[in-house]
Order: sequence, then structure tokens, then C-alpha cells
Amino acid sequence: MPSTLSLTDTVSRAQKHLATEVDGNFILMSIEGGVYCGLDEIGSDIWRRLARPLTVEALCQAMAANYRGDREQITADVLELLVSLRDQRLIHVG
Amino acid sequence: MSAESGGVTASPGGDLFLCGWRVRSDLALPELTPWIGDDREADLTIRIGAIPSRLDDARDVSPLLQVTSQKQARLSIDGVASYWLRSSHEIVVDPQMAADSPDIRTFLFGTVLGLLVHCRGLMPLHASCIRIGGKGVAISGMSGAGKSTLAAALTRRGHALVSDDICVIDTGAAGGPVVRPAFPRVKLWQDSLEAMGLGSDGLEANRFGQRKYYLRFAGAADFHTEPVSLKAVFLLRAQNVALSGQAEIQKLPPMAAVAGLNDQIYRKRTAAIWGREGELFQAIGQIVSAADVYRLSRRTDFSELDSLLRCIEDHVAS
Amino acid sequence: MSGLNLIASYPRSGNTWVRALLTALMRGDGSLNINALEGPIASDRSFFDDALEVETSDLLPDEQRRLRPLAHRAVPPQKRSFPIKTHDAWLPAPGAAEPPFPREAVGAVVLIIRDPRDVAPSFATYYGVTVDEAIAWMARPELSIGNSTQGLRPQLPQLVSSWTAHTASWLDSGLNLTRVRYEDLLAAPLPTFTAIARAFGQSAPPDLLASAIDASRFDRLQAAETREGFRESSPEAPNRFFGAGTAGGWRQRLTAAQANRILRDHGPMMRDLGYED
Repeated sequence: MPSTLSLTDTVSRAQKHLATEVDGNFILMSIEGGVYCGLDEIGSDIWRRLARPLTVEALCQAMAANYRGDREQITADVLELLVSLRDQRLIHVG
Repeated sequence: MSAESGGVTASPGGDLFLCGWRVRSDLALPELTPWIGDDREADLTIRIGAIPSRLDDARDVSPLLQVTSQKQARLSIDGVASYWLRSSHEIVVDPQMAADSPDIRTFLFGTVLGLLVHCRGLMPLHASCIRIGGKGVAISGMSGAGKSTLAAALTRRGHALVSDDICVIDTGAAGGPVVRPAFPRVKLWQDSLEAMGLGSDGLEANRFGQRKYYLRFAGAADFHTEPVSLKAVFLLRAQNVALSGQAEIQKLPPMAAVAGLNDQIYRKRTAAIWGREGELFQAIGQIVSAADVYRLSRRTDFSELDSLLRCIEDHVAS
Repeated sequence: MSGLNLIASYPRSGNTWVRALLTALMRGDGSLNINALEGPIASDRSFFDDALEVETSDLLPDEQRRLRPLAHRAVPPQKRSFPIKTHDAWLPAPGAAEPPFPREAVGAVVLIIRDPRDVAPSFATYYGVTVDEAIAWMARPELSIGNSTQGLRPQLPQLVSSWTAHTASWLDSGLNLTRVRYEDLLAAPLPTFTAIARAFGQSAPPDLLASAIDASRFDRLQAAETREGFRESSPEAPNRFFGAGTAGGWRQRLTAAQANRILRDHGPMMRDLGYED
């Protein structure tokens, strides 16, 4: 499995996970790993968008349209979160 | 508050209250309070009757428990009784000892009640619950952590008991999660009774020959039937020895609170078979959004009981 | 590697030390928090409550003993889970039809054995009894720990049996068993610990093994216990769990009569294991 993701990859929520919201922010748990993962406000926004499969590029574009900041930095931040979610088996890539 | 033992008994044949349900029972259930609500049909019938040795399409969750995908369950405790949770409205009990033995109610108000709560789409948390200043306070933790001891001691300090061992939470209520009161009884071991200066004389034993007893509260102020908003959860941890650098009480951030509560879902394996993991996890998020969750460490002996009680009261009041 | 992997030993024979070593190996960064040791404990009540879907605190002792092995069948071991600590003998407890673990579920067993003359004084400290009482307990075939009728213990009752019967039960069990002497772990930690790790299917480079051994040195465990406290220590000896951690300390701690009595109780098994003087 490559360590990074490409902009053309399609990402979606993994089948085997649990999710809950506390004060608007998501807390996730992978059923296989039994590990918990807490998302901040922006991470929670990304998680909502992952309800349907989409490409990494589309996700980055949507985030750049909704948040102020350097486009490259936003892409880097999104990729970092996605890699971490993938490594915890919370999202499906491909 | 008045005498701790003795009975709140329903008039013979009268319906009973349990978690907001109107209960009609063949089996005497002296720990339940009488139904004083509306004239609805019974929500739950408890019958004495024969039970098939094997439920259709059952799987064995444990050597004692069969469950089906239709949310039926059959619990069997050799020499005590078999229990058939036939639907969310009906429980059949087949006693193997005198029907009024407390042993039979020990499992009826344990695993069987927990599974019924799952059947009815509510959340059973492994916790005792107390009403402190109008707020629902759940005291959670594994067996032996001290839930019942703290709940009984708080009741004796003038707070009303809501439930013991299984805390039935309805997260769908308007205005946030509420706890549905069960009945005014706790189960205590001999050492806990002694720590409160009580004896076991005249108390029913949880199991024949076991030094764990039913302690019933009979005062009008000791128990109310209205649901109570859940405002605080204390996750109890008992330890043999004092550890340095560890606060006795600690408010948990959301993720730790969710993880801590998720560990304390009662009868979790059956709930997972019944496909409830997702909805229960969501319910936990609602609880953590509405209630403060604390980690509370206590020593396994009872030397610090009074200070623990005050600590709980202070944190709830603040 | 599938199945239940077990670290079996008589009480006070180095089981927790081996858990510390394996925890340090797993972390691999040379740090070790003694209050966060890995590994389930075989008699842990909450495991059985979950496995049976019934509170074991509502079960009578006979029922608990009968159901213990059955509970392990109800909950198959998780893949890649840490070895389980047990002080049980490989014997059916009274009322049970079989030993505490179903035979077919057991994977690898590491049996840690320690000279009973060193076990006795440590046993006495831990359980808050005299050395003579400890010696008498260690000779009782029916010895069981984790019992209480007055209140609830966090562990289920376990049939430990006498030191000789406990040791023989595992050695004769026919399980996939690796025998480790506590004294060898002290004298030659690297090869001995390597054998333990290998038994559990963990191959690790020597430098990693060496750093785990260093992180779990007895003086470090003891210092950490003094500094922070140790939650697995007993109420009878709070925060005095890690004793001297030596071999042959009995020469100072036992009277000649006490040493002779242990030799009388356990001589044949001691000779088989090389505990002879």
C-alpha cells in the first residue's frame, strides 16, 4: 500500500466503523482495530463529505472553496488527514 | 427516607412499574413499585410457563444464552430458571426452584432486563443511577468497582435512587438523554453493608448461600418514577493501592468519554449480534454532548467512602 | 499464530516480569510504564462477564468454576492478542469438567518456574502471611486463590494447587509448552528471553530484545514502583510487588527447617528441575 494518496484516488467511508458526534465533532472507531479517532471541526466537515465516494481532488477543491487559506496548504492538510484515516482503516481508497 | 428493608409491594395482582412500562406479572416482583400511571394496556407481560430448549434459528452467545436474529433470547441458569425473552412485550420464566426465590429475580433483573432494553431500542449502561438535585447521575464501572455501594450510600444521604446496575437511557427524549427509573433496590455484598453500618439480618440473598443481598428502599423520597435528565457519569475504577500522580477525579475529554462509555454498554455482544453497534455508538455521542463524564478512582477498601460521596455531590452541584 | 497464548506460572514466579519484558519489546522504544503492562489476566472477572453475558458476581463458586473453560469457547481469542497471564494449574477445578482453558484453543504456553524456596518468602509478603504459612499453602493440592465470600474480587477463583502439582500439571499437559526457569532469565536474559519471544511467534533483532531487557531490569521496575506505585500490587503489601528479584535469596530468608520442609514437600520435582543443593 503506497504511503501517500494521489489526487485521482477515490475515497469513501469504510464499511466497518462506528461514528458519533459530540458537540458537532465526529469521534470514530474502527471495529477491526478498536482504535478511536477524534476529528476537529474541519476534519468533521471532511468526514461529512466522505458520506459519498469522491476523488481526493474534488474533496480538496470543495475544502478550498469553503475555507480561507493557501490552496496547496489545504491540499496537504486534507491528504494528511486522509492518509491517517486510511491507516486506521476508517476510509476506503480506490 | 425510612426503613431500608421491608417492602414496597404491589397490591396482589396489581400492575407494576418498571422503566416507564406497565408490567403485568405472574411472578411476584416485590422490588417493583405499583403502577400509578395511566390506564394503558400492559407494556410487558411476565408469564410463568414452559420454554423450548432450543429457540428456532438460535445461536449460542455463551454457554448460558441463545439469541435469534428476531431479537428473541433464552437464558438458562441450571437449578434457578430458564428465561425466554419472546418479544419486547413478553418474558416467559420457567422456574426450577420456588417461584418467589430471589435467585430467579437476580437474572430476570440482570441479563434479561438488559436484553429487553436492547429490544426496545434503548441503551442499557452498566451503571447505577442517582437523582441529585434533580439531575441524573450515573455511576458506571465493571462489577466490583463500587457502583451499588456508592448508589446505596448516596440514597442514604437523601438522594433518590433511580436504578442499580443497569441504567436505562433514552437518548431520543426531547431535551436530551434521560434515565428511566427502574426500582428502589440495590444488591450489596456483606462487606459493603458493613461499611455502611448495616447488617444483613432479614435481607434476601441474591443467590441461595451467597453473601450478597437485596437492600430495598421503601421511603417515598427514595424513589420517583419520572425520568430524569442524565447530567453526569462517573466511570469508577477500583484499585488496591494509591498511585502517585493520578488525580482521584478527572473530567474526561470527549474521545476518552466516548471510549469509556462504550466499554460499559451492558450485554454488548448480544447487542452487536442484533445490529445495534452503530445506533448505540451514536447514542453515546448524545450522552457525552449532554453530560459531564468523569473518571473516578477509588480504593478497594471503603476507608474513603464519605469523601467519595462528597466529591460526587460537589462535582454534580458545580 | 492462533489460539490462546499463555504465560503460566505459580504465583510469585516472574509472570509479571515476563509481561513487562514482552510489553517493552512490543513498544520497542525502551520506555516502560509499569501501570500500563499489556496482557489480559486469565481470571479477570470482566472477561467472563462479557463472555457469558451474565454477571459472574451473580454466580456461585461452583458455577463459576464449571463455566470458566466454556467461556473461552464462547469468545474465541483475538488474532495478534498479547499472551494471557495465568496462575491456574492445568487441572479441572472442583465442579469443572476440564482445565480452565479448552485444550484445542490453546496455542503456545510459556511455563515459568522458580525455585520454591525463593517463591515462599515472596508469596508470604504478597499474601500477608507468615513464611511458614506460605510453605504450608504451597504444599496444599487444593490451594485456590481469588476467593472471597464477603465481597467481590476482581478475579475469579483459580485452582493453583501445590507447587509440585502445579508444575507437573503443565509439564505433563501435552500442550505446546516452552519451559523457562526464572533463574535462567536472571542469569542469561538474552537467550532465555529470545526463547520466550520465539515461543510466542515474535522474532525480534537482538538489539531490540536487549533494550527490552534493559527497560525491564528489576531495579528499574522496583524504582518505578517506589516512585509511582503499582496497581497490580496487593493490599497486603501495597507497592511492594517487585521484590529482590534474585535467585538464591532464600539462603538468607529461610531458616534451615523451612528450607528442609520445602525440600521434603517438593524434593522430587525440585531435583528434576535442577533445584538441588
